[in-house]
Amino acid sequence: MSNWNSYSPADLPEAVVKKAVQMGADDVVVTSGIDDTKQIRFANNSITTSKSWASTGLSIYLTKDKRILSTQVNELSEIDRTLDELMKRIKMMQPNEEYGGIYSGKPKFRKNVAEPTVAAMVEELFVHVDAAISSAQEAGASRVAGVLYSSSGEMHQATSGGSIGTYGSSSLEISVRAMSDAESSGHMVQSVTSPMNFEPARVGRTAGELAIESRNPEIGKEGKFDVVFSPMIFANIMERVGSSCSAGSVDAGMSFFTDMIGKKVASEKFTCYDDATNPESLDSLPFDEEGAPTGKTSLIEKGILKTYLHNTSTAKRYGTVSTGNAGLVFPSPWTTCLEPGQDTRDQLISQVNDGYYMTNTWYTRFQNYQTGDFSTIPRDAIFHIKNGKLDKPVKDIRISENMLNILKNVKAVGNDPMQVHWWEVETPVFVPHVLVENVNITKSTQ
Amino acid sequence: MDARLELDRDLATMAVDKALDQGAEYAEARMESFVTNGLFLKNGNPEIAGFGTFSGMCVRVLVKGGVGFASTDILKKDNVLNRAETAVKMAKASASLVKDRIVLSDEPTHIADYAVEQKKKIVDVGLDDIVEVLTHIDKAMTESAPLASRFIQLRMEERTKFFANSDDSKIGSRIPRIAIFTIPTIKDGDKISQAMIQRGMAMGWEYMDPVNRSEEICHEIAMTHKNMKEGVKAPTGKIDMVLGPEVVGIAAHESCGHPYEADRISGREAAQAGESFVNAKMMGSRIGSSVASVVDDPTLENSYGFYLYDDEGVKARPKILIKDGMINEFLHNRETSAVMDMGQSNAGARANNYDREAIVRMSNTFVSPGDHNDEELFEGIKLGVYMKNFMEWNIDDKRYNQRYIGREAYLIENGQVKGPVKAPILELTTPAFWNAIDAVGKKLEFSAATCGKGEPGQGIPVYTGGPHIRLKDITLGVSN
Repeated sequence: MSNWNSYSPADLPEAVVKKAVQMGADDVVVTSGIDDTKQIRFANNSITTSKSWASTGLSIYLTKDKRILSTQVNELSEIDRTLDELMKRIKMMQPNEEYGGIYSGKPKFRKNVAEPTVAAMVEELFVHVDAAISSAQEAGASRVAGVLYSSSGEMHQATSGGSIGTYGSSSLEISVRAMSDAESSGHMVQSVTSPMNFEPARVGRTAGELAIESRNPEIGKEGKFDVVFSPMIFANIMERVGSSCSAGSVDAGMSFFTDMIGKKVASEKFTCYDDATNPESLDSLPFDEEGAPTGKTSLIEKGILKTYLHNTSTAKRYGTVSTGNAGLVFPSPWTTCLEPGQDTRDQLISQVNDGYYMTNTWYTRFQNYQTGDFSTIPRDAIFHIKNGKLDKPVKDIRISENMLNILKNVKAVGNDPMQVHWWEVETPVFVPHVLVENVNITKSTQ
Repeated sequence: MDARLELDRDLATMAVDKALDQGAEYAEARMESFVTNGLFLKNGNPEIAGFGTFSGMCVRVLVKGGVGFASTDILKKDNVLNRAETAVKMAKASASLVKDRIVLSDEPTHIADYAVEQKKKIVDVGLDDIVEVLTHIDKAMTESAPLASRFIQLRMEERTKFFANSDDSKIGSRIPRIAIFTIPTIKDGDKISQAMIQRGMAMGWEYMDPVNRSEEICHEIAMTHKNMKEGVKAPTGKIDMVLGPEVVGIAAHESCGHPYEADRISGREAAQAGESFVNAKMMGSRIGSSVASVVDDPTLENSYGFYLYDDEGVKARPKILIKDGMINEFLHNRETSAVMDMGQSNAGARANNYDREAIVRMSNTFVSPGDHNDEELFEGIKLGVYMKNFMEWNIDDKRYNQRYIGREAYLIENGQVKGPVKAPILELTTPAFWNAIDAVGKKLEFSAATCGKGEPGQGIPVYTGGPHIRLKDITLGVSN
């Protein structure tokens, strides 16, 4: 019986790894975390609930003869029993013949600590919410809804490959949707890792302005149109680009980039990468889930697909090296970034004679993940573009398209990237405005 | 009961008392413990198995119209009391900025305990049993059609809950749930199709009979393959349609259940799950034809969305959302029933875990059976399409514009079901959908699904369902 209470949070994972190896495990990854997250939700200009989550946990990933198990433990007193259970159960598992081990090495990882003021915030959070609501109302919105998060945490990881990492992080996020009437709304978000950069009033004002500008929309037309996408809406496309680059997605039939390495998958204007090094991103850990160093990985360069995202196992099968994107089961992107271009938003709009400017979307759903056939429903402020200028607001249209068509029809990329992470976009994305030609628009038949 | 699932119920009452001591006008504690087991099989390879025992508690309080919520994943006295204090602190901080004071409906006190019986308990299932069943299903799948890739995910849990509030309600439950999910990619020549298949129930391990589950899944794959290979272009212009229970179920869920959620109608979900084209003034007005009725019923035994008391301690009952084509009832929790002056909640409050707030959710939502035999639905259709199930679907956040693309679909000519048609698109408004129904079948069927809503997102187990229905004069879209 070990005295797990005697270990500091930073030393505990390594001690558990050692114990598991002594018990006969081959590869072991142990990650512990403590997190303090607060949330304030608001709707109809008023706060609807305020929450506080105190989370702790220890996750254990363990292999023996290519048999793989994982579990979590919330209480230190359960660690011994859990390790016994893991070693007992693993005998009942069948080997994963595609398993290729985990990263081996002792790299030095960059350090980061959580901003201490974030965890201490309580009253300030309500002041931020009040600022967002007031600014949206001052811009003309009649009703304002949204959510604010503060998050602060620390994680420690040790692996049987020798990797030991510690990382602290904190963030503030706000999402504001402003309504001016039953048919007109605007939505804006912001996610920051430094409280100095947090601008809830600007976010509220932008949402309010979009709500006012989109009043009295008319039902849009169906057909093929050039579309200027705002970062909020194109982030939905980019998130799927990132996940489709995972070798795990390719293997499972969930990628529209299957068998396309080295091939043209997008227009020459389209260059994107996965980035775990940007301190402004919500997801920028220096080590991945098997302890490998993370970095910046070029995914698509001038339209050509360069690589999939890998962990050690998928890299071995594909004859390459890990990109530092484990996911012990599925490699996954950290932060998907679209390389900015030269044009401002207005310059993109000026290139469209008859098309749409879309500022948000909802429910991107696939008919077939491998072919990339999908549809999504633009919402909030949508505008008709006529002769290079924003014209009347529009409603009730749907994009019914194919992901590869969208990427190949990118005509120009804007110069104004922003981080998008909210209810509809779970993996952080840095993306500017984007102009896409010949986008298929449909609408309800009756 | 398995020791891992036992809860020290005194902790919940201590938390409620602590919150009241700190100034809460109302307090509730929901504690949960659950055992999970799962396996992920990719292309026949057992990628990873997961298991765990989890427990925790949330405390929700009301102070001067402000709501505070705090949770912990450590069920020890100090943690629980700290969380009760924190919930009150959050509520007090919020109360000064609350413009619309939050009120909860008055509800009767309930003292109850209930459990779903299992022939073979989830907690007793060995990993070797799970591997064996999934391997059997996987092998059968590969024999049902040419597959380029596939994965199967099995997840099951047995969960105990104990709810206590300052109205003296004390409710315990124990519910097992088991579900299997797979996406096979069918490739034949240059044609590729996918089927997203989910099955699940509130039941023990006996549900995972390998022969029955294999037959269900393989039939879907074989039919998808046939449809992909032989499907011809669907007819254009105005036609009649017959929809299978799977399509009827998702339409009932998406275009009736969601827009009738009172928190959407009142605007609480505006920045997340969205609002609704329905408003409170539309209660009692016509939304569909006189043969269209929709029910949400959490009390169906062994259903995937089963519960007898909701997560606010309100006793569950069936809710008739559309009755004979008229808007009849919304889905409520205690907050929305107070906002809409309903008197009492109809027990629609659910949370998917102890660290999530209970919000308005569906349970088992379905079109009520009618009086037609399935064969009668096809009779008299000169030209039409039978959409048996769907692949892509979506609907806007007000639930007004909906779209379903058929996966398995057939031409109907002169009352007879003919050969397959490829990917017909039903894209129409919600009133148009419900008004187009002119006949409803007798035989009710359900599908298991996971409904997403809330911030942070809460996937919640539900059934969607209905019998076959017939739609008149529909304009179909066709895939490019």
